[in-house]
Formats: sequence, C-alpha cells, structure tokens
Amino acid sequence: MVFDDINSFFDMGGYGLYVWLSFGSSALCLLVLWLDSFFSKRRLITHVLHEQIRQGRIKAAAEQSATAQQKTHGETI
Amino acid sequence: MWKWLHPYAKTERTYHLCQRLLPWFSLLGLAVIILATVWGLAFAPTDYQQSEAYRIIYVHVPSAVLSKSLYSAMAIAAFIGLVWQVKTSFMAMIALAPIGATVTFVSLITGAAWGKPMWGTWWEWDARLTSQLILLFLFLGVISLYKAFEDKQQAGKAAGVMAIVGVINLPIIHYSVQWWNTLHQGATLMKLGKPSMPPEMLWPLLLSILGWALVSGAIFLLRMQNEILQRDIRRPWVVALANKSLALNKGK
Repeated sequence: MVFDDINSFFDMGGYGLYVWLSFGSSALCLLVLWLDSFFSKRRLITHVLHEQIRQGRIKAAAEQSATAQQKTHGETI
Repeated sequence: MWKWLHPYAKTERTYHLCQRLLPWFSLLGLAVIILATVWGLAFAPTDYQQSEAYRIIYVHVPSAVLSKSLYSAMAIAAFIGLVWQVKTSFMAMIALAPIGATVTFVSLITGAAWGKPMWGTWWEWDARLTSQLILLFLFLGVISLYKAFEDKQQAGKAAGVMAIVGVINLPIIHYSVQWWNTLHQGATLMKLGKPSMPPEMLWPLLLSILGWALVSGAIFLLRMQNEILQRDIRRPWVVALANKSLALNKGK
C-alpha cells in the first residue's frame, strides 16, 4: 500500500472528496442498475404465477356456472 | 411449419444460454472489479503531477470506454434487427441501452469530479464533454422511443434507426481531443504505439476495464432475460419456468 495509514488513505492527498465522490457514485450507479434488473426478473416471474392462478380461477368459475346452468336446464325440462 | 416453430425455440434457447452464462459473468466480474479497484485505490503508485487525484482514472476510463463499446454493441444489435428482422436482436438492443446510459452518466460524473480539482471547473462546454453528453441523450432517446410504442416490433424499428444514426457521434467523441482545442487530455490507451503510462498504473486500469465489461455483461444477461420473459409472458415455457423457480424457492 502506498499510504502510511488509514487516514491518509481516506484523505487521498487532499483530494478525498473528489476521489471518493467518483468511486462512490460509480458503485451506487452500478448497484442500482443491477438491483433494478434483478428485481424486475423476480417481478416478472411472480406476475406469471399470479396470472396462472387467476386463469385457474376463471376456468373453475366458468365450469361451475356451466354445470349449474345444466342443472337448472335439466329441472325445467 | 419450421418457420413457425423457429422463433419459439429461439427465445427459450437464448434465455437458457443467458442463464448458463450469468453466474460466470457475475462472479468473475465482481472479483475482477474489486481487485482492480483496491489495486487502483491503494497500491498503484502516486502520480507525480496529479498526486492521488489521478486515481479517478480507475472509474472514469472504464466507464468512458464501456459507454462507447456499449453504444457500438447496441447499434450493431439494431442493425441486425433491422436488416434480418431478428426480434431477439431488438431485445438485445433495448437490454443494452440502460446499461450504456448508466455508464455514460458515470463517466460524466467522475469526469466532473476530476475536472474540479484539476481544471478548476466541474463542467466546460468543450468538444469531448459535450459529445459525451450527447451520447447520454442518444441512449435516453433510444430508451424513450422504444417505450413510446405499444407494438414492440415497431418500437424496435424506430429505436433501432435512432441507434444507428447516433453512431456518427462515436468518432466525434474519439477524435474530439485532436480536432478541437480542449481541456481534456489526449488518448493514453486507445492510440497507435505504446500506452503512455507505467505498467504499475496500467495493469490495474486494464483490469478495471475488464471488470466493468464483465459486470456490464452480467447486467446485460439479466436484462436480456427480462426482455424475453416480458415478450413471452403467456408462453407455456415461461409458465413452466416460473413454477419451477417457485418449487425451488419452497424447497429451500
């Protein structure tokens, strides 16, 4: 390491603000981009699962009303 | 019938290819970027002229190099999509655009943070800085144009044309430091002959460029998968995939 101690490392020869601003903003930008990409993938997968459940419910309700209709139809005849 | 089957097989295959490559890019990228950053921040020698402020180079140059490479990659994807009507190509284009916008933004921020102590100003309307700002607007333009269309094939075409037209900006950025009087220094790496930098400073710089490239690659793979999932959201293979990941999560 070219620095004597941790304080001079953070100080960066008096340029600490600029150096850490650069490295900090870079890390933050990349992290935010990665988090966005990662959580969109999760969101998409959950959306697919919810959609599947909803479709199942619609199908079940359609079947139920169809059988109910058949019954009432049978009774009238 | 094969023509009809072809695209179906293709997106699914691309998705699984991304899945296989993703851990390699992520782990390798993370390792290389951490190594290069620690090396650049703490172990590379101090510059005789700029003292420790020069260490900004280890984020500024990788982000600037990547901004141009990602733009080229995006334009090539757009070209393939337009000429050969490959729909996964437009997906690659729109997966690359936000990554390019982010690294371009980083290159501008780190450039400003470097400019303040060295030139005495955060921003100057000179050729290099202005053309790099235009690059950011081009990335944002491609993203917004793509989002403006409901039909994604149409969106891909419109945004693709914009991406290709914007290629004219790349040589302008590259040669801006030679064509005009500018505050920005000339090329250190991307020129003919030997790079004008001692190896103890050069190695961490090359490594950090590699690290940034790998991390961008990993994010691209993720975003590409997201584009495919979004486009194929009603296809049976996506539903099967979601159920499989659900079962895996429950198993934990």
